[in-house]
Amino acid sequence: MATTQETGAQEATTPSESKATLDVFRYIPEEDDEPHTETYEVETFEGMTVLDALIKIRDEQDSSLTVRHSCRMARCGSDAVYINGTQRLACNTQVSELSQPIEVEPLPRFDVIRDLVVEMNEFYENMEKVEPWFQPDHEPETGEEYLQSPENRKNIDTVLDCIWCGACTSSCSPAATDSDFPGPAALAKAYRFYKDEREGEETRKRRLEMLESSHGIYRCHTQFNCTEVCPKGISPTEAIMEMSRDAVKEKLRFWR
Amino acid sequence: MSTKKDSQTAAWGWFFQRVSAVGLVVLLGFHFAVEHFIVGAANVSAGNTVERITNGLIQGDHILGQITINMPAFLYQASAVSLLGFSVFHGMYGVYNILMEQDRLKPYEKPIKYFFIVFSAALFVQGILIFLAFFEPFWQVYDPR
Repeated sequence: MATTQETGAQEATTPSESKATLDVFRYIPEEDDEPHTETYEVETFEGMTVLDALIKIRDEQDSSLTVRHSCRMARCGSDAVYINGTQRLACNTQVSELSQPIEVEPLPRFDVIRDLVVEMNEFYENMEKVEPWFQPDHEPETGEEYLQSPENRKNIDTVLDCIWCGACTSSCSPAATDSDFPGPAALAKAYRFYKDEREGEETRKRRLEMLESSHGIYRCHTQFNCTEVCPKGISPTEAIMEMSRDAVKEKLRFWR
Repeated sequence: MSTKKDSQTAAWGWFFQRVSAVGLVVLLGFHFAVEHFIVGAANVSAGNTVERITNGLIQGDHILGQITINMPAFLYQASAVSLLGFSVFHGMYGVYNILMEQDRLKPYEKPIKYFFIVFSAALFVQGILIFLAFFEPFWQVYDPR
């Protein structure tokens, strides 16, 4: 579902028919005292994405410009950047949709390694913390496969598309200040397994207990920032709220 | 990732934050309807407030005539005390949570928590004392001199 993001889309105000101006964040921590912006002008073509423009700049104007990218089709999630004030995938954002100059910055809240490339280790560690793997507590009932009902598969469909781009975590207020909060991506990933009927009741309860610390699911502000910026249309907020409601329901049954 | 007590407290806090939010929406709606739309700014006086709190009598003059609502006094009193309680809890718990999201404040979690408990209790008691003062004779409460 690689759709063009509507979030933050602005009217096109191209200065000329075939050129686009980009203000690109530049910073090499080992060499520069502080970040600065460099302005580039590129020839555009129909369907040009921001990633196309950045690659064109790197190929034709400034080979030192650093940007992380791989598949160029909104599948790998490696080129999430901050474009005109919104977290987006550079490969999934049309130049023609943006007001100019197009401001391109690294993802906020992450440490900059160089130019538009950010340190993702903490993000990946948080993804690991929620144990994002299948943990059945029983043997398969038929043959060697764990069968899942189509209804259950549909329930987790909404979060399966996560490409670990980090756009949601970058937009999340609590994740910016609370290092113990795993962030929306990790919690949405936890939800994917929490809702999987093949894992069994005990594992499900254990997963929920693991997530419900004061710096876990209850920390979500329900601002929907993560939902707005997700390039795959996932709503981590709704996933987190569902887990919070379930956890509280468990607690409210204090008479057991 | 979490201790049982920690998650228990967080769960109840989360739950009451939502309950108080719903309570605030309802009670603030009632408050605005009574104090700003029925009574109207021109008619706000200590006398009117005493009348509302002690007798549940809500009156306001409008272009279309006078609106008079005579509700049971205890309902009005309960709504006032609930509004006080919900406001104090919702506001203080919200600020406390925002502070606890700051990594640099986490070492001071306990003192901050106790400060908020004491401060919230003091605000609530102060509100109740003001509320009770309305049950005194009018001339002892409102003295323009």
